[in-house]
Amino acid sequence: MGESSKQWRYRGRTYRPEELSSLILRKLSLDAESQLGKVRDAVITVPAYFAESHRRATMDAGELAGLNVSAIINEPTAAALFYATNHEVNGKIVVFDLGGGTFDVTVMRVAGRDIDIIASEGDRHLGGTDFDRVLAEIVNKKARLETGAPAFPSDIELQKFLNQAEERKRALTTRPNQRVLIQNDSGRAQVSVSREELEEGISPLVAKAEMLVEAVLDEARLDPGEISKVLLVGGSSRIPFVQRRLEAIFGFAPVTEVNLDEAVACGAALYSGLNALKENAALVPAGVRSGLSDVQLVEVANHSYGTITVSTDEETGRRILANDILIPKGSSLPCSETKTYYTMADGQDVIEVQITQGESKDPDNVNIIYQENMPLPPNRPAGRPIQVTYSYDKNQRMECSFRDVESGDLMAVELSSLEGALEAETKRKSRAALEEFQIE
Amino acid sequence: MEVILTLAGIWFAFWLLGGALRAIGAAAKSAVATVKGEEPPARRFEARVSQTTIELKGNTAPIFEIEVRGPITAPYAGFEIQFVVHAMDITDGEAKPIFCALDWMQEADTPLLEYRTEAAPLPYQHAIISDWSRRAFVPIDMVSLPRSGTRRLEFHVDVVSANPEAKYFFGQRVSGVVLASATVRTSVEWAEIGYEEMRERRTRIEELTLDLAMAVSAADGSMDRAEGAVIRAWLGKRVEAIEDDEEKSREKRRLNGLVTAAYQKATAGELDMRAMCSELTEISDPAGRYDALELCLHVAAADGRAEEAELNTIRQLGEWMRVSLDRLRGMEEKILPVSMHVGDADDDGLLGISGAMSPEEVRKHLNREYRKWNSLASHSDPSKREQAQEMLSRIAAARRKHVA
Ligand SMILES: Nc1ncnc2c1ncn2[C@@H]1O[C@H](COP(=O)(O)OP(=O)(O)OP(=O)(O)O)[C@@H](O)[C@H]1O
Ligand SMILES: [Mg+2]
Repeated sequence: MGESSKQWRYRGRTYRPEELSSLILRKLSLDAESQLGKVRDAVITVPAYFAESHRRATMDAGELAGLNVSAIINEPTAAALFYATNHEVNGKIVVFDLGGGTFDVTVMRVAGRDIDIIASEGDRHLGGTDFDRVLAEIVNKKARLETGAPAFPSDIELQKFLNQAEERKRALTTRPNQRVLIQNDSGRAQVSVSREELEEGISPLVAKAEMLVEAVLDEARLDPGEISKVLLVGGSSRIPFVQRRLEAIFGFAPVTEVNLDEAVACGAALYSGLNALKENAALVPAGVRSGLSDVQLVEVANHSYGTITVSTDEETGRRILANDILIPKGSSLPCSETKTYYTMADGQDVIEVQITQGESKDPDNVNIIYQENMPLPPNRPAGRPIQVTYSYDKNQRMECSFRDVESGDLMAVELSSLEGALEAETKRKSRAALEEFQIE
Repeated sequence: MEVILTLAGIWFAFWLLGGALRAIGAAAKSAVATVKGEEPPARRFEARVSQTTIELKGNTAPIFEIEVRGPITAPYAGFEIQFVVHAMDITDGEAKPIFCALDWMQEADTPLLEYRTEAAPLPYQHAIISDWSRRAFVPIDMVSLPRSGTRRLEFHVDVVSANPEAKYFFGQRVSGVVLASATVRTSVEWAEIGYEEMRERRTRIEELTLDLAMAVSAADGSMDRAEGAVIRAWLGKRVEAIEDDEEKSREKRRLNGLVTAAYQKATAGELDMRAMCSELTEISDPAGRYDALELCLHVAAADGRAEEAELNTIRQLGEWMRVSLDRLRGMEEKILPVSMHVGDADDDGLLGISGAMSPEEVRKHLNREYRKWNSLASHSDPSKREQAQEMLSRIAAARRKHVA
């Protein structure tokens, strides 16, 4: 999502990620409608590490699915919201969400029903499907050992096996062994995979999750001992090995009693209830209302935002371009930061306004999310102050302004994840093309 | 840089103060005696120079103080004059220029030192400065000489017409009228590296850089075309800024000569990398050392493959040059991304794990690296994303290896 370069071909047409995502959303809303009647508004959850572009693509997907997206919230926040409204929680908790394709870990401070996010990290390529592949590799290797030929000589066969692999993987959560029947060039054979073998195989992947857990604690400047609870979310956190590794880090077992699969969705439902309460309390049934009344949410910026400046390299004394961060990752929202920069050259009549997203000082290692030239009054000496202000609100909407102090000239940019990125015309065409997938 | 700016500011204030002193001196006129209708005393206009210090806003700054005395004859009383001081370094037989870093103490069209007093009328047509009287001071910290060591300097003081102003170019007067002049020599112990030495150093740094690049190129047993192209491109950049055609071709010839020599040394196995690194460390600032390493990295990257031998060689060079190994690793990550690595070498070097680290330090280091690469995993450039994914996997594997 949010990467315009990615496209899929299907029956002679290419599809954008947002289009594919919209089909899933459509299916979900139709399912819901069969129970609830017409669904109009939706709160969509996204992994916390989703950047601006991903969130905007998510908005587009919602719109293509015919939904009015009233909010996009972070999944760990939703999970914690759900947990906190059902349990007495006080202290710092970690939400560990290992799903099918992605991993997310968040530290938050919970006091009753006030939830302050402290820090969040994620890996967009870590989840259950990777483990399925590991299991398939184990089967392949063992088949080669036992029969002299791989179990899946081609990608197509491997692909076919992956569905079965998922099943076997799940079964290994409760059973010590699984048998897999294979048929290859040397005939039929039976391969047995033990839980230990799977654990050994996935341990480099689980190590990634462990590192992000430690990284997020570092970021929050917390020791594992200061965490009072670890909440598990996502289907893959059922895996006992994952739970044991977490226990090794924290010194206590993670909470398993929450509904791993639905915590996020339930949290999102609570959130939309909260919103509705603020807008029109009558819409919310009385019984639900009391449970919602006193929840407070504080989110953080999940990326750093800055601008490209010319600065002096401390070691070499040379002038270099550097990304200077105004809003650091982890800042509580809402927040606002102003810095003053200076023009470099006599007669400089333009500055290149660049808004970056990313943690590095190296401009090559961050994303430029906005770029435009700002004209300045001519014939001035160097060193004219330019005041730059970034303000980030709770809805992950960011306003950036670049002000030439002397002339008062202002360039203001609003970057909002609540606005899609697609043009209206593209959206119309997409909607028409997607009609063909209508499920009745 | 800041230090220089502060000094420059102080010197500027001092220069203005100097103007005030001259005004007082002129008002008192006691130093200027006149002999109306008589011949002036048979003394020449002369100058002397001494090294002293001056106290300024709490800072002590060393200066050359130039004093003059003797007769000055003008076309008429009230004629506007200026004192102008130039200096040359005459140690090596020929006169070599002395430069000044303060632009208001320079010749109009060159950065050569030129001290010029404000214009003032000479009260009498025949005037005499009877006592030694300070007319100029040159801030020693602000000038550069051709070489260090014991240097012989020659100061030249001209009393010139202020209207029109006398102009100089490379120490030679090109316009205006001289009323009196004097030359004085002095010796100075110069600790600062001179501009000629600087140029020689630059040449030597270039030579060492090329030698190192050749040595790296030869490290995998052969030197190929692509590596040659990288070196040529590096040379090309050095000459492209030169505007004068003749100078450009002279510079090209010189650099080509350096390359040929480096090639011969490399093929003859005459390059002692360790010695080259320590010399480079001695004569070059960090920027020059990073430049050399950067060229080496580009040479190693030329064939699109980073062999373990090449990588280890460059990391070793970095250690010998005493640069920040973290920074070198950052350069390596850009120029020789992991996708170019061949063979399954140990990842510790790639990930910046050193044998000196405790397991706890390794864990913390890997977590930091993991965070760095994880933030690059959503970069808009697909090749960066791929590199990040690969690094993340390797970091996770390293954690399994090093952390229980
Ligand atoms: N008992 C189990 N043991 C191992 N894995 C399981 C188990 N149950 C579910 N999973 C895995 O959990 C994954 C699905 O989790 P979940 O529904 O949380 O993912 P998701 O939210 O759809 O994906 P993502 O969060 O990555 O976008 C699948 O890979 C599935 O195989
Ligand atoms: Mg999920």
